Amino acid sequence: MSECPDRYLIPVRDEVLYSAPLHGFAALVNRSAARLLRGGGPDAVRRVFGDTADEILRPRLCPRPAQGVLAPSFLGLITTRGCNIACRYCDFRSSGESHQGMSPTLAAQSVEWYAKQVVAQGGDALDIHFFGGEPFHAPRAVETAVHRARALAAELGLGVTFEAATNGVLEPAMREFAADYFTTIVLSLDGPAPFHDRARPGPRGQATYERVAETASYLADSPVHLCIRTCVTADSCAELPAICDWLCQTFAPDSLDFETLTPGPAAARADLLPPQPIPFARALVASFRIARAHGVTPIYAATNTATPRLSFCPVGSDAIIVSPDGRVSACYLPAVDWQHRGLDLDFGTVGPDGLVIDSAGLARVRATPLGKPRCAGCFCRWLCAGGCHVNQTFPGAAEAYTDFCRQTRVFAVSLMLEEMGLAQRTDALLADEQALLRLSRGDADEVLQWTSA
Amino acid sequence: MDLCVAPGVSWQVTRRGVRLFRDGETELLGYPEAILWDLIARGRPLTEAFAVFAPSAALAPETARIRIATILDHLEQAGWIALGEPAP
Repeated sequence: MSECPDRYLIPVRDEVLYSAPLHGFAALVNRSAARLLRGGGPDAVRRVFGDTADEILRPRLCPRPAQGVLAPSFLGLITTRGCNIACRYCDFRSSGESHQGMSPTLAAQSVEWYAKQVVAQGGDALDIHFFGGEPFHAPRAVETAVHRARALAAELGLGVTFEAATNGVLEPAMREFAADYFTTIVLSLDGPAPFHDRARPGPRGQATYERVAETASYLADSPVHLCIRTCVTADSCAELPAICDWLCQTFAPDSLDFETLTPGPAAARADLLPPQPIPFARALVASFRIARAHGVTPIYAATNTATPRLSFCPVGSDAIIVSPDGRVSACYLPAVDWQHRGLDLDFGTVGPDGLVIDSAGLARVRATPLGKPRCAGCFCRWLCAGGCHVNQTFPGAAEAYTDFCRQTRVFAVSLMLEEMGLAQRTDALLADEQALLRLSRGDADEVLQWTSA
Repeated sequence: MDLCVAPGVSWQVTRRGVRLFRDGETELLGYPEAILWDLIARGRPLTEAFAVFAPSAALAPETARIRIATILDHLEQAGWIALGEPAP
């Protein structure tokens, strides 16, 4: 197998960032060192980086999709596509999928199958994630899955973790259930009431902020890992650092996840737009600093890993995501979304006799993260892995960078500089419009093609 | 009136089930007893609790009914649950 191209030169104002993501290495060098690296191959790396060169020069293979026997990275249960609120940017309601909840029997069957797989493969823990709609809107399915998994874990000597993404508009009993049994709750809260209620009202347009804030406070005082997820729009972008500070002070979450609005018909009807990439990257850098100063872990999914990855999401990692109708998929988005992009992410069904995997479907799903022409020359290739396979790098997507690419590239370089202790360089970069444009466009990036041998 | 947690009883979710406490007395409920306890403690009516209990315990409906009756008997006799109005 051939070595993976893993040496990038990225101009950062008067200097150049040398990045080798598969080696977990990045360094800011001056232009003469960059010239040396560009033309000099391994000898130049030794001259520039001295003792660290051997590690940097060790050949690396590209991350590859899962192979062989299905080894689920986690079990996902979409307990319902129904929801008790009506977010203005949410297109799930019009996806055409039934809003009927998953039956408790299906939830239990899925968990039993998954536990058997974990045991057969020598695993020591069950990891179960709940998606929606609003997953807690189908309480019987959630409770059944949790109790069945805990009973099996006790019987089989396994650990068990539960994670759910929720809108936070929960009845007190469900909130207490989540606090008692869940490991992680990802709670959507878009900021103080004016921001939150504009984007995430109830079904009759009523405010939901107070109830979500009540849930956030309750969970923050519980053993649950509370991650607050904030959807950033063009309207809220400039306020993001203030929102971040307020979220940290008000709720003291364990982590804060900032993601940009995904444009769609619902958002367009509500006149909600994603932020511009460079202002977003600037706001994100400021927010990361604020969150860290509060001891809160900040997250932007596209850069949320220290490990190089082939896929932005569970697709390709053998995650098993079961829908209320018993379909087994690699993605929690409504099927119509990925079908519209020419993708088929189903690869099995759960029936009366358990889960049946379609091996051709599994092979197809595993191959989905491969072949992303847009990412071929980008230093973020193994960091964001091209973003969402459905919304960003679907088959036939344009090769030109999108706003997602631009904001991720600017933010990724900023993050690398921050991690090198070069915050002043980050500030100078973020104040330099020309340098940011060049960086976001990527037309000056270079991939060094020489091999280590 | 329904079966609910008796006055003075508290409980804690543990790795192996649910542990009950009252005046220095304690009992660990494993599975499937812990499932029924959780449903009662959260004020779920018995008919609804049944819909969750049977698949959670991997029991056929008739077996689940018998098991529920046995568990309720034990919990009531031990004074962990009693007839009353569930706490709001």
